[in-house]
Amino acid sequence: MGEIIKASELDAPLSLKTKVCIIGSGAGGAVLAMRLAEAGIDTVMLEAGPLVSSEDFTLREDEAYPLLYQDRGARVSGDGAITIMQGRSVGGGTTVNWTSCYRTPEPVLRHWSEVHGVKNLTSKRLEPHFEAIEKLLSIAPWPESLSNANNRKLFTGARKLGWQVEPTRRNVAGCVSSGYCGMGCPVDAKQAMHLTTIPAALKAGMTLIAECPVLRLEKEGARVSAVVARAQAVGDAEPKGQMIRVEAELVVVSAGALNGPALLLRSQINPGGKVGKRTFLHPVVAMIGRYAEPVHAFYGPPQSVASHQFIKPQPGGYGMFIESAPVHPMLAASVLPASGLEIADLLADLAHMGALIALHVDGFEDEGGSVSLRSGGLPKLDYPVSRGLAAAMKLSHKRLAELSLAAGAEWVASLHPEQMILRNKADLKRLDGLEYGAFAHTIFSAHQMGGCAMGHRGVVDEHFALRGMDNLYVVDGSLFPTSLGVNPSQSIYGLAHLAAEEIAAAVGVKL
Amino acid sequence: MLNRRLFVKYGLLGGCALGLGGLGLTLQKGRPTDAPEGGLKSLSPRQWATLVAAVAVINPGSEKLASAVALKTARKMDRLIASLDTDLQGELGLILSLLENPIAGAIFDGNFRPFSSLSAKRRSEVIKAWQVSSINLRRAAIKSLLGLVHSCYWSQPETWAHMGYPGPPALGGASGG
Repeated sequence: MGEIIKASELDAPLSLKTKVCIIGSGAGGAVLAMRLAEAGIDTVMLEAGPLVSSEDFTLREDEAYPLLYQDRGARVSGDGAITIMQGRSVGGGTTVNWTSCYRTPEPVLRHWSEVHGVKNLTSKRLEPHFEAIEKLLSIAPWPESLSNANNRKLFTGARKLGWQVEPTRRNVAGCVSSGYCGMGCPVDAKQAMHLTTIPAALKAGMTLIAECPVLRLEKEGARVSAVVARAQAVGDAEPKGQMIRVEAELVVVSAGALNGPALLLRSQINPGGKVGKRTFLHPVVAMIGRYAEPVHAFYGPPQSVASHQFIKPQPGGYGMFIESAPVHPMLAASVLPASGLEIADLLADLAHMGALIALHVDGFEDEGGSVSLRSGGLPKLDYPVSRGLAAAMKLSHKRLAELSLAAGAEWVASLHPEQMILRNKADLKRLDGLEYGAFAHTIFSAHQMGGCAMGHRGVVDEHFALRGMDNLYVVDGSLFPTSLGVNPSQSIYGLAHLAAEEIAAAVGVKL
Repeated sequence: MLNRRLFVKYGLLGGCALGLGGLGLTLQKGRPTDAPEGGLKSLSPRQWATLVAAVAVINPGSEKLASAVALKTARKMDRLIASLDTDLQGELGLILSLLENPIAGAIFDGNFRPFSSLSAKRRSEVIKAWQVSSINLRRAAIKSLLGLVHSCYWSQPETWAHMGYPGPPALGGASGG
């Protein structure tokens, strides 16, 4: 059994030597770690966030977001226009995601091959890896009969309009439909990494160091000679504990699409000046709908239905897909751009409120955003909301409104400061009079991708190796040359499962 | 100190307003507000006064709904801000300073007094105006502030009955076991 170290409890600096050091414990790092450790490869995993479990999940938003999300739940784009929800604990985003799992769509892989030169990521090659992950994480379609009322509205509305709609596949075993996936599953039903691959890796001898943000990578020529980290206790604003130094034959950055590029930039590793470029968000706009009957969208699986009716590029140049979102008090209140009695009146209807989201597929006709460094070294994401994206968001709002009204909503509301209530189809044209774009309405992202793109012109080659470095690899969602048009977790699991073979080979082990 | 990033991003107009406001604040004091129990963890007394004045109108409560002031939302925010990275702490402090700023208020809104000294009605109007301001700096600032205030207020169990939210089920860490 490998050791679990809580860095903030160390009373002296720590220095380790290992074969492979993995930075990050989310969907990428954890799957990779399991496969390497089970193959007998000496592996150390560093995670900036805490090691927490269902006993720590109090299901209170004011405790969950500061504990489990980046920047204590307050992460935003550089200009403040986009709210960014991104996990930060052992398990990364998998501890707090809403469980929707998809294989990487075939047209996306084809685009990566044709446009970005990623020739060896084919459906055929990925197939056994996706199959293994689906078995390991109990990924299966969620029965329509067990969907909550909010998700059933998505079914109902889409069917009435003749739009494509399907149940999502979820990585759960023994789900009790609590509705609190985003605050950490309270019954260990979600097959998140801290319950599955990380325990497996620990059992096989991996060392896990939590509360251990990596400050920089030290280099000697084209090799990373050491990973330098510093302990940060839960609740501390910055790392101020003991120093941790790991020397490894091979280093893997699996720190996610914003923190990974930021780490490379802090370490002055930036092949071709492309690190942090082409960062994608699936930028989201939402619409709330008020139903006559209670929908209790704070309970039940938060996301179990999706429509990809508009996945192909729409006017404005962006495709989009529609899913549901949970309506917990803080999440709802923080995205409603109202104040005073207005918001109190709106929230009085919380139990009757459903929420639909439109996620825009970025990276096909656009360059997305770019990550640079804040003065203190944290990632700063600049993401321009182009005219085309703003136009797409307006169209998406109309479609979300149409769908909710078809599902029986008494009214729907866009998330603009000048509150816009729409009661019937004829009202939809009123959205034309509203401003769209950054600062005009609520925009958020729960899917961060890209920044270390794989490809012939990318930061990373087809073997997951960072160009220009001899022993540095990237395995996480930052590899994607575009966004996906589906929830990204399973694509990351699958890629990491495959990447393990390349990385094991690089240290002389055949999987 | 003027935050260079905001200055560069929002251009000369916003930057000058901030700079002038810094001067203005030395000339005109806001409403003094008692520090919270246990003292301030991240904000200056001036920023604290602005925050208390803001939360009072953002979530004023009603007969059956305790106000943000009664629920000590500002104190909760001060503590949350103290746990953020220094860069983020600085930005949130700057937002409050910008809101309080009497010179910028005079130029853009016709308010010659600091935000914390305005009437509740006027403070609500200022917040509304910032939400749809032609200056992106103001929209960004008020969006961040509203998001934090609402997060800290509506997550408090005392507000849940108003929303018909029964609270989380007794599972996991919420089981009390």
